[in-house]
Amino acid sequence: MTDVLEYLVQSILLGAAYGLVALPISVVYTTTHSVDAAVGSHAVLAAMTAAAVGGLSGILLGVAAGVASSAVVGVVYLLLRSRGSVDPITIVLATFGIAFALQALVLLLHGREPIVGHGLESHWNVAGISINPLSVLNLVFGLTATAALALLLRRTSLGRSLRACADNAPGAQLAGIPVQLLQFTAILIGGLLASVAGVLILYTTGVTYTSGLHITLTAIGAAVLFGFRGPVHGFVGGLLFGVVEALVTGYTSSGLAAVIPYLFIFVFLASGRSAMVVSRA
Amino acid sequence: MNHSSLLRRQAPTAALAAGVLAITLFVHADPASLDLSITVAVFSLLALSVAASYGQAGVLSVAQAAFAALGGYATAIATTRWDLPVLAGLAAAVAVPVLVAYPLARLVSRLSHLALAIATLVFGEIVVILLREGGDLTGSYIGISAIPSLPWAEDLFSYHLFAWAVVVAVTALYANLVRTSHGRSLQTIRYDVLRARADGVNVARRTAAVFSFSAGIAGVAGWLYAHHLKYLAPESLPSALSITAILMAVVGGSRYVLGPVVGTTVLVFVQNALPSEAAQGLLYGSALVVALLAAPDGLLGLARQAWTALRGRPRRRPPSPDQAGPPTPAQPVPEEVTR
Repeated sequence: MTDVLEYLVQSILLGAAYGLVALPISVVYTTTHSVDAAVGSHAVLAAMTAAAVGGLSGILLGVAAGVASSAVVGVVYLLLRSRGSVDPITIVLATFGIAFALQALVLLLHGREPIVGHGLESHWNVAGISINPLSVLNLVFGLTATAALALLLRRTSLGRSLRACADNAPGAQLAGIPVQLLQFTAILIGGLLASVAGVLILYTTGVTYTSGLHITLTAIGAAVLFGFRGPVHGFVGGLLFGVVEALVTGYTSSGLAAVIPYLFIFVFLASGRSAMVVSRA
Repeated sequence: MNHSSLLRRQAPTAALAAGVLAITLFVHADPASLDLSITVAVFSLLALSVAASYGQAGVLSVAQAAFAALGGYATAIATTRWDLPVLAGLAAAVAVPVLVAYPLARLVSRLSHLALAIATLVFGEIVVILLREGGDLTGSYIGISAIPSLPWAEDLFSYHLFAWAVVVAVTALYANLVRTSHGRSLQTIRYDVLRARADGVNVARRTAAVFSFSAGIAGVAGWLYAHHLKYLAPESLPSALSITAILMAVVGGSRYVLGPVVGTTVLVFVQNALPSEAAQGLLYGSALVVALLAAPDGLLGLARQAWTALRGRPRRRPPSPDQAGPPTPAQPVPEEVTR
């Protein structure tokens, strides 16, 4: 019984980091109707910088680096948009390109070795379950960011404007909302959240230069799980994802189990429960 | 179909065949160049498979490397495990991806393009894991070695000729496809799904058909790859290659018949000149972004723009996919409409 409980607690803590990377996907989707496929790469870049510099200044610099790389995504997005109506797929392709380049940059600067942060060695022991204090930080950050984002989107005028951009860009523009500036801001907020998540992942499981794609896919999976309905759903999706992954790796020995999280995303997409389906129906 | 329309339709194929012959004259004596040329041929097929679904129907599949892997593994298993002839391997290499892709496409083709791209990306990851965990059948992490060579193409030079002959044949089929009513309906789907439905096109079935056609081309690429290198591992054809193939098609011009081959040739040669994986990644990533920004119609689109500019006329309309050169009378362009 303690085993199950331990798995569950650990997986929720890991899932919190996934939930945190799902947030950028849903913020960017809410405002641009597209996806920044480089979120995982912002996270890896932030993690690499944080590990290279070290300490608190490293963490701050890492987050700054991640935000800077998301600014590149933002500029490319605006340039693409300025060329007329572009379908979301072109934007995703471009962000894939940026993800490719960022991955190569990390390879160039750091090399192939895994990037792991050395945090606290001590473990808390709560009712027989050993818990890494840093992973509790995942949950705290995740919950705070989700709550803040949900409040921002639902309660503030900035949030209303952000949502207007996605729902009806020309209409929002006519109503005096600076659509492009807001979409750029959304991509930056996404980069900020992804970078924080990257630093947290650095101190819990570590990353390698190829982790970007996996993080992006997990984030998309988490965001898709409840149909792109917003930050809270995305975060809960991430938690669920972490639980599924941890239980699967904990209770099966086969490497085949690695398929299950992907199957999860695939089934949810194919079953048409995602809001993404609507745009072509 | 009279002879002149056949000639017009197959002009890109003829241009490609001429290009291949010209290049053969330069590379025939040098093993390194021949090897590079075979790589270009294999990747061209992969890029062609992207263009068939993305360039024509606008359906972006990020699973083409996975389909190639399925094809490669199909032939590797057929020829090494079951001792079947290589042609049976070819049949398997086409059949397996096609049979997997059709139901897959029926499942996901009603999704938005974005969701479909993500679903195919996820599918590609699943295929890599399955191949890695396939036990004795797929050789797990180690993969399959000692895949037999093609009896009619034992040396590099004949393999180069054969690989390019396959590319020319697929290009001919593809050039045919884009000019048939089938191809036209795909282009309608690309621009306006509702309109295609109103025209009586069964969008889901048509999309699934082009999707499995492109998976079949990718399977042929996998077949050529397996019998050339004689070794396959789960990481031989990784998901990143799917994105590279998209890049090749986009850089060349995914809506032109010859676009994928042009893009592949340029990128493979540039890649060959670059020293490290990091430098290649930087180049590929930025090339994709620059191509989408500066030349959304690819290199062939730029060439066409330059051609129309040279002839002193403004561009009148977006290029149609089956024209690599100036407009031909088969697709009448209203002559002086623009001025």
